Amino acid sequence: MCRNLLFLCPVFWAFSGAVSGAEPIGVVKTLVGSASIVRAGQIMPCRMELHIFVNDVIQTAVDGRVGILFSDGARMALDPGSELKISRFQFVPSRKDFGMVRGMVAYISGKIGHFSPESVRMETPVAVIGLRGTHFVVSLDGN
Amino acid sequence: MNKTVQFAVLFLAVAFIAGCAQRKIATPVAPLPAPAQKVPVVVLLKEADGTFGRVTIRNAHGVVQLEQPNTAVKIVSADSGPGAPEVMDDSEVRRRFGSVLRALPDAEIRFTLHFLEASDTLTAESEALLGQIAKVIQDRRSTFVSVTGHTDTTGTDESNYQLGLKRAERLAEIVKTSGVPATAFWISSHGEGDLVVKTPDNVAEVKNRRVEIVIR
Repeated sequence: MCRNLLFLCPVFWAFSGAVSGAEPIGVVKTLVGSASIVRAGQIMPCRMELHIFVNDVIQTAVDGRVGILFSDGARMALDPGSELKISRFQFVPSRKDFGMVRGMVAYISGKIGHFSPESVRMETPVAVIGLRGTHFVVSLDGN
Repeated sequence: MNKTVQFAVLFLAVAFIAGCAQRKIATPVAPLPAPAQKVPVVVLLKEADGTFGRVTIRNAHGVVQLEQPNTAVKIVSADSGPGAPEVMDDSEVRRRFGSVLRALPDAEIRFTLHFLEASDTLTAESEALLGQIAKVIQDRRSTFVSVTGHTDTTGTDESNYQLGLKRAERLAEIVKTSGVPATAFWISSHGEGDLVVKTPDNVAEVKNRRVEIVIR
């Protein structure tokens, strides 16, 4: 990695943290192209290290791809043209609800630190998908 | 044979063939999609360590369960039940889902640091990890680091909550000196409420005197 880049990055990094006191439930760790977050009716561009909260809606553009690391260790990625709402996030017992409207999503449970099996519920227009750990993909467009 | 019986036989035949590979709760008979048609699909995969879970796909017309990795279910629409499970090998998974799988972030990184009795001073062994911790936070440009303090069972619940907090804050202070933004830390204490080694009350145990740090 280029030394100059390493030198400059902390400047942006220092301004990229939390603005409010509420603890996030996740953070954007991979981003290609463009994507947006809809929060409390406001739409904002997605960026690396953006903190994610419950009820956020993640939308990827036709060129956009986003990866989120959740606070319980679970990981999720959205392919271009996806839309998903995080409607519930609970630690104990581990439970997450998502509302997936379109696109393609990959998910891996965070097993580290999990003493009870995780339960994930993903509502889609065609069916409700229930997951008990660990790794699955959903495509609503059938690619 | 009347139509209902024919239908039931067909249903059972499909269920039986599918059941050889997968246990099925129900197999509603759905019209097969045309090959070129884009159909929603769910695939159960295994993690890098080989473990896998279970997926249930349910709508008003049926329920199908996936219990083996590399099996898939198609759902033509909300007006028909999920299809029978099908095998989807790794090359097909890569072809169809490679892009989204590659976009999955790296897993979080965890460290556990230990402390001297009734103190926020790190053990020598744990102190040696500080440089590595700061480097991981910097390399990942992390803005979401959880620092959680814990104690053993010596002392009261309240004093241990405070001690756990003091340990977590102390650790965050040390790591901050290497240039990590203060806003990246989420500090909390579990006091003596989350023991690694279960002990009775008033037992000194170094493994319980710890701070857990999760770097995202």
